[in-house]
Amino acid sequence: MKKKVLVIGAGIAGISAALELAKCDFYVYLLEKNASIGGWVSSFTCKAHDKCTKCSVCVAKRKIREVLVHPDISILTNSTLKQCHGEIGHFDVEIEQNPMHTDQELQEQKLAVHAIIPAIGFELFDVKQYGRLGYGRYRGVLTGFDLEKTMLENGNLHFPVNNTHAPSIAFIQCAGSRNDNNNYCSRVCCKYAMRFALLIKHLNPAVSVTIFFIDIQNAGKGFAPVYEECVGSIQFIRGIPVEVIENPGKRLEVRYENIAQGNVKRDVFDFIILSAGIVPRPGTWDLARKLGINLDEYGFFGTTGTFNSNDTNVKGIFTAGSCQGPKDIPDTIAHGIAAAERIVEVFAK
Amino acid sequence: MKKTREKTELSELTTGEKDNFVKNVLVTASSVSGMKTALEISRLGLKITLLEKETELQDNHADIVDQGTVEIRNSLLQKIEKDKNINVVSPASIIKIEGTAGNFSVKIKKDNDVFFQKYGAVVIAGQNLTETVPVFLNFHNTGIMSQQKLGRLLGDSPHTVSPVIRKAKTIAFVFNDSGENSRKLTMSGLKYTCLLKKNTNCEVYVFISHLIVDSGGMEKLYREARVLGVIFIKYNENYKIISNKNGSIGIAAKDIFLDADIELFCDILVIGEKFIPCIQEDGLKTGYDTEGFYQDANVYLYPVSSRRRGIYFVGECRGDQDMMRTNVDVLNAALNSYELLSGFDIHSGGNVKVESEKCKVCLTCIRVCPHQAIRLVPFSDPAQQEAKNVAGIFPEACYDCGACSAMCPAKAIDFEFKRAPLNEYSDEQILKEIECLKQDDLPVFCCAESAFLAAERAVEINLYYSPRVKIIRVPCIGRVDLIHLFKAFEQKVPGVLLAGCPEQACTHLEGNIRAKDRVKYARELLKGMGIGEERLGIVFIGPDMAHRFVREISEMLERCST
Amino acid sequence: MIVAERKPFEEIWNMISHYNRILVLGCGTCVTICWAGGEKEVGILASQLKIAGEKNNELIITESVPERQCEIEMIQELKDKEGNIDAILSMGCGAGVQTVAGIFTDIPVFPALNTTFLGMPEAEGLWVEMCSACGDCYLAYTGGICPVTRCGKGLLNGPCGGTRKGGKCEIDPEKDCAWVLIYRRLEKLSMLDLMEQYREPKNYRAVKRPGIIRATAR
Repeated sequence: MKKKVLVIGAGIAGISAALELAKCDFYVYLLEKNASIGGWVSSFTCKAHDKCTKCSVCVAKRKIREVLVHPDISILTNSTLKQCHGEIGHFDVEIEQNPMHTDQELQEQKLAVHAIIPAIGFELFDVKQYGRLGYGRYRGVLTGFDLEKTMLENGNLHFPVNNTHAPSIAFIQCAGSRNDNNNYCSRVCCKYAMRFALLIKHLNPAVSVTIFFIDIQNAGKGFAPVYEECVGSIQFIRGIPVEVIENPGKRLEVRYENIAQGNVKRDVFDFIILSAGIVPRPGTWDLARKLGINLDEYGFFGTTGTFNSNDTNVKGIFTAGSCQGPKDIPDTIAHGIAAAERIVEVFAK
Repeated sequence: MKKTREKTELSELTTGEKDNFVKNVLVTASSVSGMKTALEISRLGLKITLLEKETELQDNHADIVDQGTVEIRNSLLQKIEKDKNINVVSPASIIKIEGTAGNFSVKIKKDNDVFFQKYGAVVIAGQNLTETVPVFLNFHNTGIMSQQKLGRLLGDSPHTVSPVIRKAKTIAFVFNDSGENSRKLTMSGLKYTCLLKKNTNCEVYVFISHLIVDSGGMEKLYREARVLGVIFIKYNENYKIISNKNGSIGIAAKDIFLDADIELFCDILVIGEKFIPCIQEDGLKTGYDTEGFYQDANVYLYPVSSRRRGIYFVGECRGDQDMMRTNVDVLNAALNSYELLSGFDIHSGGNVKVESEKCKVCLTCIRVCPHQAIRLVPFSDPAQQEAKNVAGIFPEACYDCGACSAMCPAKAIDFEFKRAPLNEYSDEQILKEIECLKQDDLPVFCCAESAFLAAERAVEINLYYSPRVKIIRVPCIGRVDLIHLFKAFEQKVPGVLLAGCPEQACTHLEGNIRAKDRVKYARELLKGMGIGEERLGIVFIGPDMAHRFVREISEMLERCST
Repeated sequence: MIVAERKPFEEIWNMISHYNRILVLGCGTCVTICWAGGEKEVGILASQLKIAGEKNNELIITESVPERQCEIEMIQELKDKEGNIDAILSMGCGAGVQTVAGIFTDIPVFPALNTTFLGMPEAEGLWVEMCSACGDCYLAYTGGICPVTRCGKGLLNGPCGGTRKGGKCEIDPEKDCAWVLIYRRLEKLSMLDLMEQYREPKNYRAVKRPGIIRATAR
């Protein structure tokens, strides 16, 4: 009989882990809270202009297509974990499945699994908390995620046609990361800002693009050429703007400190993209309690090994993906596969 | 009759995947990651040969705090000693890897011997070197030192601090943050600043333009350093090394926050370094990224795969990986080799076949194949009664991209009608599709991995494009042959468009670049015939870019129609 | 290996455009390997001719690729098979074209290639001249590097003195100076004494043109 594994969360980390496990002759239950699988990635778009900028969305979407047809992966959508008991080799879990239609009743089922991979992913920092940046109030202020969705659906941003101003767009980094509460780098924002900057510039050569930043994170394999390209065509301004206000001409005025001259500078843009930080999902604490695993100081799942980021304090439960800390797509996929390896290592004999 | 016989002969040589696979793995050591990989693979029940360049297992970078302290290395060494699955060979290094996944024949140099050994999979977990940033090269001042040297002088407790450091009142660091490989040195540098502050009484300054904090715990470490009193000076553009009359060394840069040029003299200057690849000779044929590290910068290969199935890269040899990421690499490589050698990695390649009688042994396909899947194999021609070597495609390494088929000057390579979805890639099928084109049609050759998906998506989200557009799916645009292009023009079509993956994102590594060159050559030929170059187009489109796809084809239609 | 290059299409078209039934004849040996006249190139040229002559309804293009064009027996076999043709467009080397012309005595044979040199592939798609077929081989004295072919001036007694920085040729800075290569190689083999020996002016008549070699039965 095949060994069974429960993967909680059908985002890209969960999917990568499930595919590897199914490959290695395990049977996988893939639990998803929402009605469709794929998580965040399914709303992301390829950001290549003529050159690839290594965002890896294509790889993730390929995995989603694979998992949908895999015979050894049972996908349970609309489902959440209700309870979990046991230890490595025999966990008893109760799954609650919300009805697809209103006339059906809530279904519960019990599963016996050998190991569990929580891969519930992340939540975006609610940038409405920074009221001064105008998110939710002005139509031109978007988060990076809104931009992803718009670009996927419409293929381009529609800049207002205006003869007096050249169209312009600004990215504001670190909205909700690298501050007192979230004392970490969200790792993905600098890169997607630069990727989008190049893509938007490629699609609309007249647009001027500005990035407000603290430190540009340009490390990572294959990213050096992308950064070099950015330096040539995009304006980088150090420092995070104080506030965004709509001016009478319905354009967005960004006020920021001009370090060199010691005064406040104002620039006008058509779109402002806030790079919202990555924070733990609200359900992380609840799931950690049900599974009995620890959280780290920021509320992500904690790990035990010095360098190993998959192991938790409960044997047989291995975290995968950005529920353990912010990760970009290649790192998330790798982390998912690594979680699968930890399980294969225990049971493959 | 001829054909069947040839096929059986080739299949005898090439198939039988799992049963013929050698169940052991070669891992290169010289690093904590190599040792860890060996231990992980051993737990999965495979035999490992651990190759060490030096006389004893070691880690060149153990001095850098981040790399794992001496204790970690020692515990790994003990575990390796006890492990029966692991066989350590030292001092030895890989010269060349021949063969294909499951049956690599590795040429190894041990002492003065050179020998071949069979392995099923190979994991490269080599080390990189640190190199001084050129600005420092002309200075031979004793006050200038590398992080590694500082680490040795510093030790890890207040008692081990060397007098050289104890004497110093001011210590300045320069972090090199240019390029993509600056994570690890930034991390170790920050750790040293904290250690200095804790264990000595000196002033610590750090010169930096962008602090790379996108690895685990870095932002926290940065804050800790600031709390401990390390002073960070963010500079714009460039810094200069200066020295005064007393012979002490200093650094001059423009501080962004003060908007002023500042000069700082210090007793010890810890220099900016960068990671450089340490690849001496390359018999791997697996490609490099833009910085010269192993593994092409291609997302389809991340995290650990290489262009040759069965060869994996772990940690530093594929770029600047911090210890957390390296550990994830280790687990990935272990699982990949396990899947490969246990037969779980079901590989769908090998549908491209060489017609041995037609092969002229020109070696073009062998040079072209991005995955090193083609080798010469013996073939006895039943008609001529003579044995010769011809090209043979090894299915366990082939990914069905068809690059060889498009390049073969003797038209001896083609897709086989083995499995349903792939027969549409055979020459016969593509030429048939071309024959069906009508005079006004615009044939668009679409890469199955990118442009074809974009076209599908365009249909899904109800984007309109002209019914004159006829999509011909190919596994990779590198498969599109010059003959296909000209045959299409024979049908009097207004134009031909090729649509493939964006640059550096080709699933088959170079297919799109090859297609680009081919289009360039074809345009020259067309020009000689009075056909304008605007009638043959090539575009690079990602899989989600339905809008762009529709825009490009309508632009192409417009261009051709006028 | 003989290396050849295809002629521009205009030139070929000017030769052949008066004819209706044309045989495009490739060669399966040297020119296949140097991507100039194999089955694929024959296909491309045939296709080009069809497109260029699309107004001519009587145009019939046939393709054939014998193993070697420079063999009487193989071409004879082809002649027996091929029916009605007005002209042959040969994609073989010069030897091939002449062999075909010798057999097909009644119809014109045109060359579609320029036969360029004897060489080898240095990389994928890059051929380099290695031998001038001078009939008087010097390679024993020059470390296996031919000065007749690879020295821009064909000098036999050391470099001309105009060698550029980095050991590049005076005539073409892209190319290596053959004598620098020879010196380095002889140095490595400890055979530098060969550099000291004087070489007589070359006898360019070692093989009388046209060359004929009669090998006795072995």
